[in-house]
Parts: sequence; C-alpha cells; structure tokens
Amino acid sequence: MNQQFAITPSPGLARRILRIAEDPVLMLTVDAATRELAQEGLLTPQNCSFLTSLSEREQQALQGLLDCDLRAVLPATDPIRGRVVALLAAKACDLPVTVYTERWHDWVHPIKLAKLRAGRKIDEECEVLVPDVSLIDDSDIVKKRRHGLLIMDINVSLYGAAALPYNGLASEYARTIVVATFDGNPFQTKHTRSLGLETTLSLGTILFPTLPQFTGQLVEELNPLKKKRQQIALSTYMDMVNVVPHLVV
Amino acid sequence: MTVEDIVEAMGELVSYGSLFIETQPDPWAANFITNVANYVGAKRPLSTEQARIVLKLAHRIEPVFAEVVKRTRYYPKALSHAEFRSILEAPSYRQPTYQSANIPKEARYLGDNKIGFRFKRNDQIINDIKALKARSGSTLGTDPPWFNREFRLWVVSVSSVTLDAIVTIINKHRFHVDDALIDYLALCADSRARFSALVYDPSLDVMALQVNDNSLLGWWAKNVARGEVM
Repeated sequence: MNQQFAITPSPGLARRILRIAEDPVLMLTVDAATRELAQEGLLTPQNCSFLTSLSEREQQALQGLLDCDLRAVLPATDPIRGRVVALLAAKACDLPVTVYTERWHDWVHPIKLAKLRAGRKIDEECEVLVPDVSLIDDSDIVKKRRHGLLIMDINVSLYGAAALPYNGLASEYARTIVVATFDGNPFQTKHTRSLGLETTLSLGTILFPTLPQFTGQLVEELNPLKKKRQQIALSTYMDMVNVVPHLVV
Repeated sequence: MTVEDIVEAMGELVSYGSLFIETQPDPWAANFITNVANYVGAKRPLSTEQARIVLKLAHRIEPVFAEVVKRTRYYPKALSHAEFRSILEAPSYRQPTYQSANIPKEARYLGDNKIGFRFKRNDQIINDIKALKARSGSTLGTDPPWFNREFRLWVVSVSSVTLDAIVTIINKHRFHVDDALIDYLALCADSRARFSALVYDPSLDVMALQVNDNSLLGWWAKNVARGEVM
C-alpha cells in the first residue's frame, strides 16, 4: 500500500513510465528530470543505419522493443514485417538470435529482409539460429545462446490464451520477444485483429510468471468499467506487461 | 491419584452441567476444563501453565466439591473429597509437565506491505484474520492471510481495503505494537487516494518511485522495472 522503490534509470524506462503515467487512473506524477531523460537515446538514422528502410510505425515498434530491454510482446498484424522488426531489434544491439517457431519456412524471407545469416544447427556459423522445434530447449543450445535474444513465434489465432506451455523457455533467456501473429484464422479481418485482455495477460505471463496471481482479479476489475475507460485501462495494462498494442506492426 | 484425575473428574462434572454451569457459573472455566480434559483424554501431558490454572480452579471448587459430586447422579468416577484434597496438597502428574511457551501477543511490520500477527492460539482472532480474505480478494496483488508455520505467525497484506480491518483487529484484541508499525500504519492511512510519484536524481543515478495505494504499480515496479524495495 505504501512502498518506495529504487530503480536503475535508463531512457527507455523513462519513456515506458511516461506512457504508463498518461493513464490518469494510475495517479502517477513524473518529474521534469525523467521527462528530459526520456528524450535521450532515441534511434536515429545516424546511430541505426537500417532505420530509414522501416515505416514510421515499424520504427516506433523497434524503439518500443528496445525500450523494453528486448523483453516484450509484439503483436504483428503483418507477420512478415513483425518478424523483420523483431530481428532488427537484435541487429541493433548486435546480439545473436534464437527463434522458436513451428514454421521455419515463414522465417526464411524475414531473415533475408533483415540481411542476417540463418542456420538450423548449433554448430553452424550464423546470426539467427532456427533449430528444430523439438530441440529448442536442448541444454547445449540454451547454454550457448542464452546471452542473446530469443524470439518466440506464437500464432494467437491457433493458441489464443493457451500459450502458457512456453513459460519455462522465456525464463532461460533474459531477452525474449514474443511475436504474436494472427494468421490462419479466416474469420478475422485486419480490423478485428487485436489482442483481448485474457490473451494479452497470457502472453504477458510468458514474460512475467508472477502475473497469473492476479489475472482473474484484473479481469474482474476491468469488467465493470465503461467501454472507453476499459480500452484505456487495457492499453495501460498492456504497457505495464511490455505488450506494445499501440505499436502494432 | 494425579492432577490428571482431577481434570477428568472436573471435565465430567462440567459435561453433566453441574460444575461451572450450575454451581459457580463461569463459562470461561467450563470451556477451559473441557479443552484440557480432552487433552488428557488424548494422553497428552499438561503444560506448566495449564497445570497452574487447573490447580487454581480446583482450589476454588474444593469447598463445594463433595456437594457437587453428590448432586451429580450419573457421576461414574467419583473421587473422594479426601483424595481430592490430598492431590491439591501434594500435586503429582501421570506424565511430566512441559514448560509453557511464552508467546507474546504482538503485531509487527514485516516489510513489503505485510504485517505479522503472533499470539497464543485464539479462535476468535484467527476468525477475524481469516475474514480479511474476503476483502483481500478484490485487490490486485494482495495475498489472502496465511499462517507461516516456521515462524508461527499470521501474515496479512495491507491494502486500502484491509487497512481499517487490520487496525480494528489490533485494537480489539489489544496486540502489542512497536513504533515501526505505528509509523507504517499512519503512513498507509495518509497515502490513501494520493498520487504516486517518480523522481529521477541524475547525480545519484537513481529513480525513486513512491507508490501510494496502488498495488498494480507496486507489482510493476518490482517485477517489470526490477526496482529494489527501499
């Protein structure tokens, strides 16, 4: 009820806090020094050579992923561009990538677009390792690649809120991006593709395992709110669990 | 004959409604003797404190003991008045008594918005603490009350909905509290419906986040922003 925290500052964290503080219900004031800090460390064409090849929304998404220290959920209405942005986030930080996917062929093109070298075996010289899905939690792979980025490719249309089995993998890698795609569902149009509250929280749970403790209560608290208020609250909660809904690629 | 025989005899007299109900009415004593008689029935030894109270009550009823026994028509294991008096003069026990634990009745602030309640088993207090569960259930990130077996204390979470009830429990059951808890509770009462604040100090390279009455923001600061509780 009354707590004080000491937080290690960074420009990315300052930007996230400012986004959270926009919701008046949270009643959080932020000082001018934090606002100044939030202006620092932004991606520019000078410090990121490939930035100009991205659309404005993609640039925002990339910035959002970096602000979350590469531990985030990226809902991607365009699966190919979403995968490219996730790969470029690793490229911007010069990190090796391991991709968890059941659809290797869907990654060939995005890896090419990101101008990265792909491989399927642990011994191969490559920037992006896409091992067979059955080997993803192999201890050798985890040991050699855990300092890099793990990208988890999850088709929300298929798995929905049942994405929980992947929890353990995300805890092995400090940097994990969940690319949530909506492909394969003929009943969803582009306009209806958005994450519901429960799916958001399930995806957030992959990154922050303590989240389920109050998932039910969170749903209960949001339900009585009016629709407009509920949307704002949902957006804030998404920000809080590193889901970037307003940065959908 | 032993003190345990006195306990059993008094327990039976209570169960027949004669002792501490009809004669010398005292509900607390009736309840105490019934409980201790159950312990003895289960072949458990008496604590030094239980033995002390049993002897005190026995001394109290000694003048009327013979009369109570006489009036209780279905009393099967009657002790003679002489036997009763001889036990009181030189108490001996079936099993050696064990030293009573001296459990202080206290409430302490444990940190992380948790208060610990330590007390000798008391069902009324336990029920009052358990009743906090219904309130805690509606607040994000607030755990229901739980009993820590290792440290033998009840742990309750403080939130805006449980604060008043916690203060009521402390006052109603007269828990001993230290200055740290008083300061913390005053701070909680003061932080109700107040804005939380974030301040960045570039010279110390640290962000200080004061979270007031907002469990979700507290969860975020701890788990997502990796903040350290100060």
